[in-house]
Amino acid sequence: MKNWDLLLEWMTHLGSGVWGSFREAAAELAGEDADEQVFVRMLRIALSDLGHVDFFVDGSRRWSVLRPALVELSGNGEHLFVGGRTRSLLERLGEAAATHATVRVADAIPGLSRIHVVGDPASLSAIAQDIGIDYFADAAARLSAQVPPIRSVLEAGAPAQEPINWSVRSWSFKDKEWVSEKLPRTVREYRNRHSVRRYLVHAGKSGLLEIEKRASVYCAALLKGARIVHYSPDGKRLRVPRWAPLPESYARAACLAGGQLGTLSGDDIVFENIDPRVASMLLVGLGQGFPMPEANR
Amino acid sequence: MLAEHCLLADSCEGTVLLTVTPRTLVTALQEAGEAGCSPGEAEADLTAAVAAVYRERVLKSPQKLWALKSTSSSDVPFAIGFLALSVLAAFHMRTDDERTGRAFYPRLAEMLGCDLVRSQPAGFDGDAFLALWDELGTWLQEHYGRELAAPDAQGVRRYVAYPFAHVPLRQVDIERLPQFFDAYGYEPGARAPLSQLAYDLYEASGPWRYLTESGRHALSDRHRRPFVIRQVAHELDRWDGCRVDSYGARTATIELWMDIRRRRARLHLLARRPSGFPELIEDGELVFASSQEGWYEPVPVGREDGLLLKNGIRVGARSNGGHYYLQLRQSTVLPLTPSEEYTGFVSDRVLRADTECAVLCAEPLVDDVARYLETLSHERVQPRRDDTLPAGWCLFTNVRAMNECSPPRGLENLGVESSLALVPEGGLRLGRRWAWLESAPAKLIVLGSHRGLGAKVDGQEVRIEDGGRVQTDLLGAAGQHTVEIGNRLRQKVMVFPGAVHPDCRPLLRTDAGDVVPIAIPAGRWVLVGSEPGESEIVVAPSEGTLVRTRFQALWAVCLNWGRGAIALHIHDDRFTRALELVAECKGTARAWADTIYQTGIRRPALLCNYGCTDARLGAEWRRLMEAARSIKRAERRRR
Repeated sequence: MKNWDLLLEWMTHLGSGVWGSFREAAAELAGEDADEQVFVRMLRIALSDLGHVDFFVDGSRRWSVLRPALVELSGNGEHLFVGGRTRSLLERLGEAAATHATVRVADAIPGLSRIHVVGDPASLSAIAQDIGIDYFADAAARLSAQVPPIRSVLEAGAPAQEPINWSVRSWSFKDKEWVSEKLPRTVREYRNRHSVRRYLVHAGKSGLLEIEKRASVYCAALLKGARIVHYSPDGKRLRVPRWAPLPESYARAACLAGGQLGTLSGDDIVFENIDPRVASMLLVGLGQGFPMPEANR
Repeated sequence: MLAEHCLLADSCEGTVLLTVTPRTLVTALQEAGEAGCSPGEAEADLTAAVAAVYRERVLKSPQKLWALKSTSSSDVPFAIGFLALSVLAAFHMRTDDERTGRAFYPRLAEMLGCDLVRSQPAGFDGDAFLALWDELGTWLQEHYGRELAAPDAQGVRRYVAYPFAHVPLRQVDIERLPQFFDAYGYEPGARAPLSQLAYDLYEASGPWRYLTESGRHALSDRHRRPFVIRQVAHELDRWDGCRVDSYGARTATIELWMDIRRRRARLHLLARRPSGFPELIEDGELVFASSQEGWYEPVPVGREDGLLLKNGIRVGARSNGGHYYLQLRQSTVLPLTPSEEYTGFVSDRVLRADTECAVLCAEPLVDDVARYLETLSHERVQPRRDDTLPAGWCLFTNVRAMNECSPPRGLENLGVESSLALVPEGGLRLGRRWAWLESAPAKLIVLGSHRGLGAKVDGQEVRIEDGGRVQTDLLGAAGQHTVEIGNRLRQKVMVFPGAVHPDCRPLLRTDAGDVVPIAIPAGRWVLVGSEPGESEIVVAPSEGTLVRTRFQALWAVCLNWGRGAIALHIHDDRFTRALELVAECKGTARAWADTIYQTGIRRPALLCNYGCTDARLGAEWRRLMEAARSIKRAERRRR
């Protein structure tokens, strides 16, 4: 069995746990010579974006596995198996789907399987019920409808005082890099010598607001009016800059729209096969504005 | 399970006690591979189970307590649960004055959930009670050749004396033990030699004076003293390091955790989190955060933290009216030994014989430490100075104490202990109990002097490598396994096939309903549907907005877009039409028609993100315009 599939099975069995236990379990499977920071981060992103596990639930250090489910990706009968997963559950799915659907296994990342099921939605819904898992039609659109708008995140940001004796740098949208100064109306990263980081958005007269890391960049972009995410309806491709990865819930909606993880392409993270309706909901939610089509008069 | 844990495990020269405390219940459950629960929960479960049996078997039977006598002498006596509960009731007695039936019986009745009748629990019979103890003793003797401890007391308290005889230390004394552990330098979770505990508790200068009279009496009784020592050792093993000072402030210990990744040693501060401690304790730079009982998240120790290790730290927080502190004691030399709970090595108060350990020491001591370690191991040792270690400190790894010798002055921390322990390493562990996921079992390592001892897994002989690792593949299969190291250690290991946890949450919230919203650009828009009356005005901020319409929207029109009007084609595929809402909309058919007409006469740009052709967009728009014109014509005729 692949390493990360085994890890997911372990997490599914436990249901939830703390970050430290996830990191240790991943390190145990990766072996001593692997770069822990790199693979733990890669795993966390893959498991979260593909709808298997929520991390840092409600701002805590806990992770929580989602219920197993088949989610419809697009109108052509393609579905993705998300949530918790065990060998026995996959066997039952394979047996139940034998005559009505095709089950395909690909690698989401090396060592972690991505299970696609292709079949008639009505049949698959019945199969899901038979084996005791959830079924969600049009999951990406419904997820996109439930993500918290960045404007709401900004308005709900907790007022914060500047930490003392912490180093600080600010994100410069103009230079597209972190600069070692305190810039206004952008996100600032404060860091102490134990590598604890805090992200505070300078919101003008509202002062500093503490916001989760990924969302903080988009909050700053909203304040600045900066358009950093681009969508091309022709290619159904969403491009996100590497330095501004999508907040977790948005990344998950984008992955479940296309049925796969975003991939690095130059300086961008690219999500393929994103339906225009989903893309427009995500962009509006991110505060990036509606992707207006070209006018042909 | 109770019989196995309390009566069939270790004995003292063939004599055993049915010592039942909340903590021993948890241990018994863990050994049986049951799900982890707190001592309070374990006690509540036992109490509920016994109370149910008492109600059904004792209170409803004319024989009353005699109804608990076993029908077969070959099975574990049926009354063992009831007897265990009576011991638990005795355990909770708080003062010496209450060591009589006057307080014991009401407590037992309360646990059984029954009334008192003539000062005893309903259904209770003293002679039956003694007979049940005798039955247990006889069964133990006949089947296992062991003797059940009996009370010395005779006379009017002879019934109550039985449960008290099986409580070496009561709860009130157990609660005082952290003070003893702290005063004598015992570390939380330490596997201290029984001889050392006996010396400190009694032999050095009589019974430790802060125990109750009952506790001191138990220590003074040479028959019961071994059980008291064992109970204290068990409590030390389970001690979370929490101490309470005279002001009521609670302090927990910070350990040091070391692991090696990519051939470099990394250190972390690993703070214990006893029950009741807050989720967050910080002092500005150090942040200890946790989401569960047991431990806080490890905090990395870096190059700049040399002084922090030497001087120790104490960080505190106030929460719920109490003060809580985490403390790392100052130190210049620290033994690090394999831990049951964390991969790698955790600070200890001794080195473990014949076990791979590590030693962290301040630079000034490096030569003394190296000399001593070489004496212990008969091997050359070289200190490491990885750049990941704090400045001014170095680390000795692969230290294996094969000899016994007294540590020199200043290195008392590096004494060697030879008691046996079994430590799991790796695998995918299921929580804190001895349970692993199928196909990812732990490797087991024997700590302490194990040479010459045989090992068995599920009754089959297996080899112990030189390094203490138990060589077996048997733990990979699902099921319950038993590991035995000689006749000194016995450990149950559970292996489970993966199953979906019932508490997993769904991917999607179900309260959001089935209506997926529509994204609308910035500005003032009117959303229109295909039916007259279906229109809604939306004013969106600069980033746009999401709208849930009461109808299936086909177009979003804006009259003031740049130099003209714009009609944006909407693909609203997943709308559940509600007929009653359509009826509501009919009153605004005129507004609907006006909107479309006014937009149409401005020759709007027809846009679509879905790649719809100009021809299709044009045709759909024309249909809408025709409908709007019809309504306007009809209106003019009415006027």
